[in-house]
Formats: sequence, structure tokens, C-alpha cells
Amino acid sequence: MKTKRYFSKIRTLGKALLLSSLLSLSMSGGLLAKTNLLVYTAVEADELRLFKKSFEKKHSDISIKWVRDSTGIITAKLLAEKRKPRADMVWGLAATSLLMLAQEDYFQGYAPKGVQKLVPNFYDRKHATPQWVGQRVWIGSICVNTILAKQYQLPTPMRWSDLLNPIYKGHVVMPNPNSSGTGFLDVSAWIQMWGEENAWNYMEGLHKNIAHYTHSGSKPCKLAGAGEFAIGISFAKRGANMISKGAPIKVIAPEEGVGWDLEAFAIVKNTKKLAAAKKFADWSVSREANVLYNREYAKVAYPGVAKPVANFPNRIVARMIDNDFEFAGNHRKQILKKWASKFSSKKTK
Amino acid sequence: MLSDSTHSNPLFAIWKKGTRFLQKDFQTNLGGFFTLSLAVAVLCLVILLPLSFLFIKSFQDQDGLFIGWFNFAEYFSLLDEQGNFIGLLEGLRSFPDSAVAVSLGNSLQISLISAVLVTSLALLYAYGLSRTNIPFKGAWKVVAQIPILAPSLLPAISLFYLFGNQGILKGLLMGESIYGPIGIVLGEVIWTFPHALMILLTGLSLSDARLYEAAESMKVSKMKIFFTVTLPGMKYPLISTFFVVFTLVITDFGIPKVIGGDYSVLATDIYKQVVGQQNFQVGSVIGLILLFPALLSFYVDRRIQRKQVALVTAKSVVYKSKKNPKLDAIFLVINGLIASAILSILFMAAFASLIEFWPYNLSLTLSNYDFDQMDGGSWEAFRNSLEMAGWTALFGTPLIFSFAYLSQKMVGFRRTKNLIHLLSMIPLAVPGMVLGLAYVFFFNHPDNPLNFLYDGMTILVLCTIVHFYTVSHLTAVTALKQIDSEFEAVSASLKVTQLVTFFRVTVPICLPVILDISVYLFMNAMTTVSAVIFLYSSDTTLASIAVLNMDDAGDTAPAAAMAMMILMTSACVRLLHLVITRKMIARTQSWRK
Amino acid sequence: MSYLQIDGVSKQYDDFTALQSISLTVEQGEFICFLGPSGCGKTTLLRTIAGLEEQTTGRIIQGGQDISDLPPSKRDFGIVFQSYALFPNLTVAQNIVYGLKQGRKKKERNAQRVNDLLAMMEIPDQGHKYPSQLSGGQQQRVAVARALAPEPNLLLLDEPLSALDAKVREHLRKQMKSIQRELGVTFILVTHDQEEAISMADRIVVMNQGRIEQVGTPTEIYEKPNSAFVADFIGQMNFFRGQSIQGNAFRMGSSTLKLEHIGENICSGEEVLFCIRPEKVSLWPDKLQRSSILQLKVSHLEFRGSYCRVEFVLPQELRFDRSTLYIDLTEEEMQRANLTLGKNTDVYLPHHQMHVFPQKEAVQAVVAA
Repeated sequence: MKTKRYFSKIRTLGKALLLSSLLSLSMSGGLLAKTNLLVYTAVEADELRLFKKSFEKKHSDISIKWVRDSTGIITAKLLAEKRKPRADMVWGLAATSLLMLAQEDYFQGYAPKGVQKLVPNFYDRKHATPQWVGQRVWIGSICVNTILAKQYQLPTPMRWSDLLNPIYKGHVVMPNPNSSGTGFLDVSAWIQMWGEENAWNYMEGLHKNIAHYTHSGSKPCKLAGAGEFAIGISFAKRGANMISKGAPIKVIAPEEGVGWDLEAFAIVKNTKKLAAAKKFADWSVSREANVLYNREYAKVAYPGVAKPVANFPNRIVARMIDNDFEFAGNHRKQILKKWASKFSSKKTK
Repeated sequence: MLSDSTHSNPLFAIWKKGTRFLQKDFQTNLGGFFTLSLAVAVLCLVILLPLSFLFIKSFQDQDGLFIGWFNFAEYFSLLDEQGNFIGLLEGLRSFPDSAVAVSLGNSLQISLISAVLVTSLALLYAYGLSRTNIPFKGAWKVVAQIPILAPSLLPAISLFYLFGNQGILKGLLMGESIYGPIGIVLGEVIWTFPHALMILLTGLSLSDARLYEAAESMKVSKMKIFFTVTLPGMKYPLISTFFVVFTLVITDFGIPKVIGGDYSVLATDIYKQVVGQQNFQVGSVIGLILLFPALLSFYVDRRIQRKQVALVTAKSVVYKSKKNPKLDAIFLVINGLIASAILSILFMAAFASLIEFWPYNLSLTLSNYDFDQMDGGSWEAFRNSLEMAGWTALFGTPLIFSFAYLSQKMVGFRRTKNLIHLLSMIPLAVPGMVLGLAYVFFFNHPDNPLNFLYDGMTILVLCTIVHFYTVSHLTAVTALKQIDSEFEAVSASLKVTQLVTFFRVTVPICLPVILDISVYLFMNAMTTVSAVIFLYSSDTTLASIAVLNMDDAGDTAPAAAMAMMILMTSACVRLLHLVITRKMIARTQSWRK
Repeated sequence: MSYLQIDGVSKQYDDFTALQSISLTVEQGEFICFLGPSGCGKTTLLRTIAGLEEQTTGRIIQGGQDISDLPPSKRDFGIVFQSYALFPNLTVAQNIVYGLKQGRKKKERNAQRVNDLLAMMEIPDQGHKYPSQLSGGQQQRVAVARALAPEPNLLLLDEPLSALDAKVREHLRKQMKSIQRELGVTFILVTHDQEEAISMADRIVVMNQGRIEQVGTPTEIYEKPNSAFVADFIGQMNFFRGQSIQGNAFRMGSSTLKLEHIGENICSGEEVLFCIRPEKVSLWPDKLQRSSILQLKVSHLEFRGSYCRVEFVLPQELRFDRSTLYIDLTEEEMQRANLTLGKNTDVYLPHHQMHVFPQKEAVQAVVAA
């Protein structure tokens, strides 16, 4: 009978559905056997895979789950979740952000095994047990597209102040500091170097030359690399990468000094996975990890590891400013708000 | 005893009426009562409750305390630096300079321009297709449908390559920058074109040929016929198109995000507030503002549909275009131009995705498709999208179809059925981002027992089903209305349960439509950005989100590659759909008339 | 006790009364027609009996059981719709066995049942076809077969023949009547076609504006309509004005007359309406019967095939809904009467063939119809 066949079909379909849902249940059960460590990070995706692989090779009982976004967004996310944090750990986020969060009593202090071997001012020494530990330095830079510069007859900017030259009008792109950590370290550096008033004056001047502000810190350099804009205010690693890719780019470390920030990690208070987080923290200060950090970044927390990285500007490390993390961290919120009110709406241009 | 005054209380009367009709239905058809109640409960849960949470949230602070209009004041720049209210008058004075005024103005501007442009271009294209004898009509139709297969980000990315500072057609802009209103409008025009064309084609096919014959017999010129017969007859479809496009544009954030530069619009504002600053409260305020144009458009469209029905009578005669080589030539050129614009957008994206390093190394490569090496993208995102779209079609289709069936074919329960239909209409008026945000508030609420759904594939599937609910529902309703309304009565008289008749008769008859709905859901789930942008988690990144994130990180070529993957998937599904439908109809031809 | 008892059934929509306190009894094996103009509530009443509509008040008792609150699936009936409502994706045979218990063991018996029913409906060997491959008349026969397959005691038919053309309709009328007699099943048929009702029904229920106007055999309804509405709705009828004097005495124009069929609610002195069917009007006196005589002028002659229609101008004071009185004459009578246009002639209205109704009631009814 046709009806019967029809219903037997429905029955088989039902069985298949039941089976598949059981299967997926048991699969998720299998995953539960490992400790899932939820880690918020601003490190870029291509590198994350490497870190995850190396760590999990050593600790097969732990599985890292990254939540990755730009510095500003990860910071905002952490702040928004303050009452009920989801993350177990924050890793590879700007130290200025961690410092601010530490003041909100966000973290569980922990001194990873071997932390004392690190460069002293690269981790939190204000507290008895460090709230955060630095990993490596990322340094602001300017990416200049040489072909475009020639085409528009733009001189290569060697100093920050050069960028105020009206000749650059519409040729400069810069990350929005509200979303991008790279954008913020530049703003922070200008304020630290020149004082509030001069720095804001400088930014107002610069604003006139900016084509637009980007969401991420990488994008200005990528846009410069693609010849979309001649000058991208970005960070050194991205510029070096673009050169390796064949982009006609020069990476400039301005003479006045370059802003930088530490990528650092911290364990979130009251995490249920403290043991796993501690293991990851211990691994993160190890020599092995620092060797990996050095693959793309010129300066790392473990002394004696760093080897020069291809295509980095020559004197960039020497030009790093004397960065006051306390100042940057404490004033982050207020600086960003002021920046947003001044520059984020098109009408003020 | 109840006093007389209680009896005359209107609320009491409504209550009494309500309980009485419930009681009666309840007694006679217990199964039907529970099924319908379940449907109403589910629809309330996934549509009404989340939206009310959004509404409430806009009056609360981060910790859920009621703070009145504070969030509105914050967004409308009515607060000074200390957070004190500056007064309405002062606010009004400074309003034109505020960020919200800029965004609002920008949003209205691009939406208006896009709507006017698309409506007129689509009218020309549709006229060419239905009123002239240009060759390759099938091909023109196919080309016009291409933008619907990809997320709105794809035209924006193509524009970057076409008109950016290194763009191959940069000269056409005559020194203007593509980053800003020009780019947004161009992108929106391409992206919304298929939507506009579909409405106008239907509208033109409904016009009554007798009017044209009458006009032609009076020796009136073609041009005059167009302005005196065609255009007035198209009044409602044109208004409808205008509002649909206006709403699509004002609520789209993909294109402004990719090509808009610093040109802020409401849709990117809500994204910046929610994602950039995690300020969900102000986000919900903007969400409420965005609801207005959508609600207006919804209202206008409903009114018009009612009038449109009366316009076409059973006696109308289908128009057959006559030979007119001159007209054909003109429209061949117009349609050719529009189609080639769409094709060049498609080819540019395809080409860009295959280029090693634009513009300095133009050798061909597949490395941009190596998504696992990109920041923000991965093949997993693509697999997630397939999975999400699959579940959306698999669960959404039976859910929507059976709810539509309940609202049309249950015996009795008139009011409950109307309620289901009404609830089903709501999602059409809710922009994707607003729905997504509402879902965040509702499902991420710590006290919600459904909290476990958050953070996984389920919430994405659910939100996508609801986002595209109304169109699917209406499709199902139209099909169900064409079925003899007495089938249920007949099967009841034959003592066969309604469920058996549903499976043995209704479903087989509606199978082509059920397939249509599932394909519609699948394709939209593949391409949607707005409905899922606030809801994805690290494990459930989707292909369309990956396009956005890769573009954000400056990896434009891989973003183009991922957009192409989505487009090709949608195209394959569409083709498969055509083949299956054709086969199915052929197989059942013996009983389909 | 009667097979079906409808007791004070009303149906109220928001601001529309579809049925007003309907009471009716139907005997086992009867063929009943619900007859009335569209919107009179006949279909609503049928659907209420089926349980497809829910009565606002009142009870329905079928075979001794109160079925008022039962859903359709718990009631004993088969139903046939004007649209046939055949399942298009099932074959004729599948449609017919749809309501039968199914299973491997029943297969042969069901097949036999299909064959029997198809034979009875005079469409043998069509079981393998799909409904769309059959003509309208054939489809309606399948619909009847399907409704009868589970052997219900009551068959409800909602305008089953309205969509068919005249010849098929006439044939099906006869067929249905004979099937009904053969099976002894109670049939309730809804129609707006009085000819259909008269030719098929044992009893006709004439409905108007949600009320039953009259229940009776076709002859009773035709010969003794008890309201102006029924008189007007069934068959042809001439109306003209008059006044009640007292009792059975009336005034028509200048003459007075005494009538036999008098409605109950005519008051003395009230305006009334006389009516008489065209075929009851005569041009020659009948010695055995009393008649009123009007001298009228021929205004119109129309050949209608088997008969001829003659119209006479009515005097102003008699006119009601039309200005003429019409009669139908056979060819023979025409020759005998030798009528020409404009000729004045005596017209006889036999009193025992005349009906009289209060005028205000009639005005409402005729306007409604």
C-alpha cells in the first residue's frame, strides 16, 4: 500500500534524525573530556594557529578556544562582561588594556614559573603577584608605498611632523584608536612625547590629511601595500610582512620616537579552569614560546632570544619611546572618548 | 454575584468573550487547540519576546536598571561631559552638529538616492523584458538575479577594485572618491536591483492589455501610452519597490562598512556601538530608530497590496508586445548596459579573488582561497555557513510550512489563526541587525532558561529562520490558499485525521512550493550578514562574517574569494533546485493540471 | 423518534446572524433539500449538521445521540461539495478507499468496494485514473462514491450539481435519486435551484434570511406556499395589490372576493397581496369554480417553443412589482383565444388558485429575494 510505504519513509527519516542528534550529543561529550580554555586575544589569526598547536602538543588535555578581534573590541567585550566574565584568560592583548582591566579587579594574580627571567619592566611588578605578564612588543610604524609616493611626488615622511604637510592630503590612512590597539598606541605616544595640548593640536592637523580611519591596525599598511593609499599609519610587523609579500613598501620609524605596546596575558578572576590557565601561563613565559613570538616581532620579553626580523626598520628599537603604561592605561578611556568626539564624525572634517 | 457595572466594563466583556471562544474550541478540538497554542507560543517566543526585550533594554543601563530616556539622550548628544542633561532646547540647537544628525542625514540621503535610482533602472529593465521583443530575455533575467546570490559585501568589494585608487575604472569617477556616498549608492543599487526587478516584473505582468489596445486604436504615441497607461497602472508596484529598496538600503550595513570610508550611517553606527564599544543600550536605541523606516515601508506595502488586488480583475487580458524594431534596439542597449554593469561587478570580484597581489603582481593564483591562512577567515567558516544554511532550510521549511498550514487550514479557531498570521508578518518589518540584537538581549539574559541556546549554531539558525520567516510564510499561504478549502472537511467526514491528510494530500501537492521555501531559506542563510553579526561565536563564524572580517583586516582579495565561494554555492543550489523542480513536476504531471 | 432533530439552532457571526433558531426533523431515508437564495443560511445549516460550523445556540440530535458538541470526525455523515474536493494527487480508487480501514488483509475487500461503487455510479474501470483526467460529471460521481464508501447513514451534498452543465446535471439528478432510494441513506442536499429541489426531494426546506420559511413536499410547497417569499421563489407567480375587508373577504380594485387559502396573520383592513401562478390563470370561465374577472389589454406576445407567454397591462391600482400580468398558453389555447396585441379580453382568476399574504411581509420578502 502506498500509504504504508509513505509512513515507513517518515519513520526512517525520524530514526535518522534521532540517530544524528544522539551522535552529535556524544561528540560534544567527547570534547568535554578535554579542558576547553576560552582565551580572548587580539593576536592575528595566522599566528594563533601556531601558538595553539605548540601548546597543545605539550598539554594534550587542554584545548584552546580563541575569541579573536581587534584590541579595542576585545577590551570593550571584556568590560561589557565584567559582571559575568566568560573568558578564562586574556592573552596577547595590549598591556594598556590589561592595566585598565586590572584596576577593575578583573584578574587573578599569578606568577608563572620562570617569570623572574623576563625583562623586568615587561610584567606587572606593582602587585605582589603579577596581574599581567608581557609577551612581546609591537611597535607603531608608517608604511609608505614607494610607487605611489613617486607618482604623486610625495617626499618620504621621516618624522611625525612631516605628515602635517598639506601635500599628503587624502593620502594618509590611520586606524581608529577606538577599535584598534595600534591606533591607540600612536595617540598615546604622541601625548606622552609632546604633552596633551601639542598632541591634540597635532592630531587636528593630521586629521585634515587623513583619507579615512580604518577599523583594524593592519588595514592601513595593507591599503598602502595595495597602492590604495600612499601612507598607512600601522605597525612594524605588518609592514615587514607586506614587504615579504612583494608590496612596494618602505617601513618608517619616525625620528621623534615610536609608540609601542606590550602584548600581554592575564588570568581572569574566578575562572573554573584555573589549573589549565596556569599551565598556559607557564608555557607563555617559556623560552620556547618566546622563540615563537620572535618569528614576527623584533622584541620579546625573554632576554637573549630576539633575533632581528626581516624588513624591520633599522633603528626602530632605539626609537621606542619611554612608555608609561600606567599613564596610558589610566587615561585610555578618557583619551578615546575625546578622540571619538573630535574625529569620528565626518562633519567635523 | 457580579454587579451590573462589572458587566458593562469593556475589559470584562473582552475577557468573557475570549474565554468563551477558547472554551468552545477547547472542548470540540483538543488536539487542534494544543497545536495552535503551541504555534502561538513558539512564535511569541522567537519574535515577540526578543523584540520586547530590545525595547525594554533601550531604557536600561548595562546592569539592567531602569534609567528612562538616558540612552536616547546619550545617542542624541543631549548630555554634557559630566553626563548631565543639557535640556531639550540646547539639544535642539546643537542637534544639527551631532553625530546622530550626521548619520541620520547620511542614511536618508543614500537610501533616497538609491531607491530612486534602482526603481527607475529596474523599471527600464523590466519594461524591456516584458513590453518589447528584445532577444535573450531568459539570459537578461538570469543576469539580473546574480546579486541576490551573494552577500551585499560582494558588490562593495568589487567597487573597491573597479573604482578604488588603483581601480581599473577610476577615471570614470572624475576625481571623486569611491569611499563615501558614491560607493555606497553604487553598491546598494547593484545589490537591491534584483529585489526591485522582481516586484516591477510582477507589476507589469499584471497590467491589463485591453487598456493598451484601446490606446493604440486611438493612435496614441508609444511615449504617451507609457506616461498615461503604463506608469499610472504601475503606481502601486513602483511605490512598493521604492519602499522596499529604501528599507533594504537604510538597514544594510555591509556596503557602508566596506566602501563607506568614514561616511557614517545608522546601520554602521549600531555596529560600532554594539561591536566596537559593546554599548548594547545605545545600540538598541539605534535599533528602535531603524525600525521606523521598516515599519513605514511594511505599512505602505500592506496597504498597496490590498489595493493592487482590486486593480486586476479576472477579465484582464495579458499584454503581448508588438513588433517595434526601434524600441527593441533602444531597450537592447539599456538592458545591455545594466546587465554588463552587474556582470562586471561579478567578474571583477572573481578576477580579484584569483590575483596574487593587486595591483603589483597580477599573476593568477588560488592562494586567496587558502582561507586558513587569513586573518578572520577560515574554511571552517565556509563549512559553518553550509551547516547553518542546511539546518535553516531543514528546520525552517517544515516549521514555517506547518505553521502556515495551521493558520489556513485548521477548522474553527478563527481568531487564533489570525493571530498566527499576524505574528508571522512581524519579521518582515524588523531589520536583521535589530532582530539579532533583540536575540542577544533575550537569549543571553542570564535568567532565560533558553540561555543555553546562545553561543551556538542553534541561535544562528533560529535567528535566520525568523529573519526570513515572513516571505516564506506568505509563499506557503499563497500555495495553501490555492488548495480546495474543503479537503479538511472531507477527510473529517471520512474519519481520517487531519494529520494524515496533511501528509498524504497537502504536502505532496505543495512539494514544489516547499522546495522553493527551503531554497530561499538556504540561499539567504548563506548570504546574510546583518541577522547574524551580533550572534556568531568563535566556533560558529560564518562565511559572510568572514568576508566582513577579512575585509576589515585589509585582506580584500581573500574576502572577495570567500564572497565568490558563497555566490557559487548559492548558484549551484539554485541550479539544483531548477533541475529537481523540473523533474518533480514531470514525474507528477499525470495529476498536476 | 426522528433520525435527525435540529432544535433551536442559531449561528451568530460578529454582526451577522446566519441562522435564527432553526428547528427541523428529518426521518431515516428521507431525501431533503435545503432551498433558498444565496446567503439564506442553507449552507451554514448543512455545515452545522456536519460540525464544520459551530452553532451559537441549540442542539442537534442524530440517531438518538446528541452530537451538538462533537467535532466532524466523531459524527456520522458523508459529504459532497460543489468543487468535488477530490484529492488531485490520488487516483480515483485511492480517493474512494481514503476513508476505509486499510491494511493488507482489507486490500481485496477495499478493491471490491471500489469496483462496486464505481459500477453503481456508472463509471466502471476508471479507478486507476487521476481526477484531473476525468470530466466534471465523472469527478462528481467519484466524490459521491468516496462519500458513500464508509457507508454513512447521512449524506450531505452542498450544491453538488451547480458546476455541471444542464444535460449532465439532469442525468445526475436521476442517478442520485435512484441511488438514494436503493441505499436508503438519508440525503440532505443544498441547492439554490428550485427545479432541482422539486425534482429530487421528498421534502423541501425553503430558507430565507437565516430562517425556515416553509417545510413540505414539493407539491405542498408549490401549491400551498405559506409566505409571499416562498410563492415568489418557487415557480412563476403574478402579484397584485388588494385590501382585506374582514375574515376571508377581500377587495381587489373595485370588486370584492372571498378566498380559501388565507394566511393566519392578516388583519382586517390590511393591505394585502394576491398571487396566482401564470398557468392557473384562464381566459375562459369555469362553471364549477368561482373566479374574479379582469378585463385587460394584451401588451406583449412571446413565442417560447412549447408555449406562448402573453402579458396584459394591469390597472394602476393593482400593480405591485410589475406593471403586467402574464400567463402561459399552449398553441391550442392560443388559437382558441385568437389574441392580438392591444386586444382587450376577459381574464379569469379562479379563487381556489389564488393566495393572499399581508403586503408588508411580502415587500420585505420580495426585496430580499
